[in-house]
Amino acid sequence: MRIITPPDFFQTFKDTHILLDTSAFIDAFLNPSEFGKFFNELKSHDTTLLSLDSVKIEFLKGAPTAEKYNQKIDFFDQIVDACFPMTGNVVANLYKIVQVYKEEGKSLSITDLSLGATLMQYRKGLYLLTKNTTEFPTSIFNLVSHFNISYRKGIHVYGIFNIV
Amino acid sequence: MNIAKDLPKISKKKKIYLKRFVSLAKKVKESFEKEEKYLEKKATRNENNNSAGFLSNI
Repeated sequence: MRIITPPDFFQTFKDTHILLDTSAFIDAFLNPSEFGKFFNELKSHDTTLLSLDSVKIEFLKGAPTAEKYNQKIDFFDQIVDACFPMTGNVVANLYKIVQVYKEEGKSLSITDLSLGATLMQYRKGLYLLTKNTTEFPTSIFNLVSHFNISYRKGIHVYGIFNIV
Repeated sequence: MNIAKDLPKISKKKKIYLKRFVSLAKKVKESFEKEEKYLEKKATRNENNNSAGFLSNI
């Protein structure tokens, strides 16, 4: 497995903040060596890796024992620098973004909506990294960059979005 | 909007130590496999219950 980024990828996100969706954590435990290097490369460009508590909870739920729960927390915390708190402004944006999505928002999880509402709050300086690209349409979000994950069989694509 | 203002204080960028990260990932993977097995079992049990319900309505 290989992560293939465009030539200017890490430079593009130098000194910025990136929000990570649940898909990034799942792929990271499936391919820890490659994703570990990828995250470290971002960190070495002073990119701050962030997430939401709702993403963290989505990742933690189902843990069969306290030990496994703590291992998941430890894994999550190794990657992110901080979790965004759910501020009143972000909650207000949740109601706004439901209206922006219209009927396309029907199947969205509260986590997807929260990620969108957080992007809406901070606009230019904040990016979302997700493999779940169908839930973040370019009619609402701006696709800033992407990278590919090449497997023995097939290629997966991650998008990096913001709202301008 | 100032992102840093709303964030909890980040003292230092944490670098991921790959050896530890890889070993932790293995443990997390095991946990997900257990969860999936549980969900599969639960789905089968629900299917069986639904079938029984369906038959009892005939």
